[in-house]
Amino acid sequence: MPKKKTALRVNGRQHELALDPNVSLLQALRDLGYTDVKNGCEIGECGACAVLLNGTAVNSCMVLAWQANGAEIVTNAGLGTLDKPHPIQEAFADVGAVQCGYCTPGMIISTKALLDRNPNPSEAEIREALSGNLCRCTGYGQIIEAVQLAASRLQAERLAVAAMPTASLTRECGDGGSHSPGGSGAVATPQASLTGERGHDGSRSPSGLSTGDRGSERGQR
Amino acid sequence: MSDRVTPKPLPPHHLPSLKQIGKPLRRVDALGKAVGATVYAGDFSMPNMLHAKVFRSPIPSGRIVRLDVSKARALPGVACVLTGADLPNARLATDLPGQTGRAQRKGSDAPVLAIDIVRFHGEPMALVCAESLEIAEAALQLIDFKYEALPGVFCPEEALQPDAPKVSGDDNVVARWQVRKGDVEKGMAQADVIVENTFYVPFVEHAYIEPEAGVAWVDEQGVITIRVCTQVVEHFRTVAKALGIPQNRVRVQGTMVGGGFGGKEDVTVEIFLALLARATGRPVKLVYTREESFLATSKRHPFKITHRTGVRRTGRITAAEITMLADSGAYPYLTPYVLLYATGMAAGPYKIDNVKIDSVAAATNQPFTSAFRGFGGPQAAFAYESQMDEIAKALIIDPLELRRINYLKTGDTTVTGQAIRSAAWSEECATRALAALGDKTPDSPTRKVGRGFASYFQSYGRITWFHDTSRAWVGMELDGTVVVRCGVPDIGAGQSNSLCQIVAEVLGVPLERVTIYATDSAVTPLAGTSTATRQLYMSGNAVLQAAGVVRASLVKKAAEMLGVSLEDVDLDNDFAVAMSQQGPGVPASGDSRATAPQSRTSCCGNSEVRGSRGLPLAEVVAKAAASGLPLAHLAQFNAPFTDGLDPETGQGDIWPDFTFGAHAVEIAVDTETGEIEVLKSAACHDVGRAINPAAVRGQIAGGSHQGLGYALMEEYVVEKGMTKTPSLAEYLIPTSCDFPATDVIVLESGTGVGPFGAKGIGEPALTPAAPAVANAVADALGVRIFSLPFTPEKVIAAADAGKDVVKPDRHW
Ligand code: FES
Ligand code: FES
Repeated sequence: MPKKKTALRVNGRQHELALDPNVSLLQALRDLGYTDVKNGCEIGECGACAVLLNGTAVNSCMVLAWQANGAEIVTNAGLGTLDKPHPIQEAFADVGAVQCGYCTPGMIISTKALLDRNPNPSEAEIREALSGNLCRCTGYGQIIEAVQLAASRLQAERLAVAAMPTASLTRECGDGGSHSPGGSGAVATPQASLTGERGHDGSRSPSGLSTGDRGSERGQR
Repeated sequence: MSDRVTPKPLPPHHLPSLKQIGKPLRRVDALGKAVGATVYAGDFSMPNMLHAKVFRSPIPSGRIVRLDVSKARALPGVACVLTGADLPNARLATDLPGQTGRAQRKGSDAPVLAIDIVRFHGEPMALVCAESLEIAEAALQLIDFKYEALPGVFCPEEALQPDAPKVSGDDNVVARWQVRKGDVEKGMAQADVIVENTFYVPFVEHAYIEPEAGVAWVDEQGVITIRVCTQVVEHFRTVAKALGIPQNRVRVQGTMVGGGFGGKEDVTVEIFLALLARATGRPVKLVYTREESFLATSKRHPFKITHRTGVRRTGRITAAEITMLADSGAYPYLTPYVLLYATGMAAGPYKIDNVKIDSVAAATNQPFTSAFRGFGGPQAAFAYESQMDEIAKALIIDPLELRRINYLKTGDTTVTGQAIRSAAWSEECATRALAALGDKTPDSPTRKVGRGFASYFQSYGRITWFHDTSRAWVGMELDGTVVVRCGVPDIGAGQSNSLCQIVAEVLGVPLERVTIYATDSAVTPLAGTSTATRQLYMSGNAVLQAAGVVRASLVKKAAEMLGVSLEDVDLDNDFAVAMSQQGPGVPASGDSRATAPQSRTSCCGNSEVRGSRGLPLAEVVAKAAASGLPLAHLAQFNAPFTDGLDPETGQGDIWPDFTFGAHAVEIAVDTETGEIEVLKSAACHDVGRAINPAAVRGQIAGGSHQGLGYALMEEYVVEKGMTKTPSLAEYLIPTSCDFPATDVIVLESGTGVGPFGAKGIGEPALTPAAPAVANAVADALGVRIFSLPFTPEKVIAAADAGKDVVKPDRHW
């Protein structure tokens, strides 16, 4: 199989790769060492592998790496660090939304995408936005509280920033909620044709975190 | 059932106020996980590492006619292929004397790789490792497997027939237990009404989001080291036994576990990795796919449970006769103990003087069953709590009133003859859970609203005849920070955080100043398994002891430095203070280090006492170290050591203690679609003492969600031994949109055997949810569904016919 040249910008770092065409973005990211992107199923069912692809949350297992050529990718570890956690990450830690933590990176990515487009979501909107991210530990209640806490903290931060002189407005990529790489508008969504390639039943879109489809799966078996 | 319930007032109880215990502090493991810094088992790699895959049986029952791996071995890039023929003596022991009992149960082990016969779909048959995952996958395709299908047995009832194909021993019986208490005949004769029902529960999958994974290598001492997500680092012994090497030549380095729930209690990848690392001399990685995680690991036991209960018209239960039949699957694993727990909990939290219980587990050609959160308790609870509501219905009495008459109280004995020694707040919990539901939602033309609740009791800590122990080491660094070393595997429930919070309390330091090293069989003191809701009880007591010894050194030195008595010294927020010198209005703790110097100690001339804030702990530590006082201690906590149950009567004292609680739900049944919506969910448990209330809430909320999934959506479907639901698209677990958050009510009686009076809550949290739903569905429909889960098909069948639905669709 001829390799595909693929350029990925991940958490601000540029990578030039030659990959087999069937390598998923999940695999490529993990091979590069971005192991905060978790593998829970590889078929778009759990959301543990979610990353921001040009600002949109996608299940990276459902995207072929070469199709992300030229894309700007942010993983959960790209949002913050132990020393400088992102407000969403802090909120998750503060309210007990993290148990085993395996779903957490994907949850936080979905939360970031949600709050970027909707800074003040209702509980129903939060539940909807996270419905592609499975968590087996928490029952979701504290996760929803974490999203609400993060939203209010980010809101307070924005107000504080707005009250400051304009010179101090510059922020690093991914640090804080007001700036998202690529923004939430101009999004290169991976094509729908990707879904079939890995034998997925197509009940979830490739940007896999979209919702409403879960209910329709019920009772199919 | 009654719409409005008043919470029963709590009996008098005393809870000392503490500084760190009882605070919803940020867990020590939370931020690392939140920022993606935690390295899980599958995230780890080594230089020169090989990748492994497992060849698994595609059939549930057959004779191996040919297993030719020569083509796989010849594939370039393949480093090693092993089959059962290469490892005739490699056995996976599921019962290790010294760990689970005094002598190994007969027939309790399984071949590591199938030899001659395969007994379940997914049974491991060969191991491959190669330079890349792709090559290993290609090599699997080159394995030539020819088999002769053998008749299988796919139902435990059939397995017990004399002419059934034999999966285990000469009768397929994996375990039996019996309980005989009082005189059941007499008890039944005293009854005004006898109620008899049979209940069924299906296979259920743990479905943690992290599939099993590990990396193994041979270290420079020749020790096989396995870095793996496991609930049991003591499996280094199991690995050593399988490989026929000394126990000190195997090391298990646990990782943060991405969910366990019992599914990572048995050996998963460890022996495969050890065999391949030994055979190749290179590091080897093995990560299960999701499908493999479904096929290869244990399930919750399906049970058929029959209750025959005699009861007086007043509501007093006079006799209970219970039979239980469980499906062990192809190999025993922990089935005998799961069955024992189910047997011990079979009658529920009720005082019944005349009891006869017979339980049996049978081997089949199905997925093997073993530990799953609750360990037989949830299956038992579904049956006994459904039965309680059926009894209430027969007597036309309120279900709460029926339970109130029969609840076990402190001092009463269980059906297995064990006295309840701690608080038994069943009614306190049930009334609070029900009260939390508030006003009842009205019916609509197509939606019938129902309410139900369930009580339970469940042991925490291992069976005391296992002679359980845990060890922990606590030490002060010279700057006043603290290190804990404890073999505890953290499976996400906050096991390591609880230990840190206890140590922080005892040593008077903020939680951030405690660092824990955990879950390494070679370098952290062995703490036993993260199973059986035992770690807070066992390792919590071990760290409490160890920290207490360190504290004694600090208090001794501080008393000297402050010139006060030992009793006068307290350790608080990084300071040693003389309590008698703390004037009113001076905060006992806070961020500011200093108030004006007031005095100098008489005995330690050069040490300044900084006012009523006392001495910085680091100074006390330095002085204590200089005078040779012990600043580190290794403690061992022993659970009570008892004998087993009497084999004839099932009487004995084998559980350390019990947790009590209740769950209540309000549901709406759509009588046209058969869909059930959970409208409200409330759980109330007496946790003894909540070490970290946020973590406790998380355990209860998460456990009840799993229980709601058990009730309404989860069934691991196996047809003629073949798994039909090997993905998260087919095996559905609750999403964020399925159920409302459970309203969690935490009671603290302070009467548990854990540190500070804590009880265990990890497993109990799940137990009452499914029977609460069962009772709510029966309340809504007026008829009962006797098998889990409550699928739309069953609901419609019950609603349309207006009749009970008894038999499940499959398996029995
Ligand atoms: S790994 Fe599960 S959705 Fe991608
Ligand atoms: S915290 Fe364990 S899966 Fe979400």
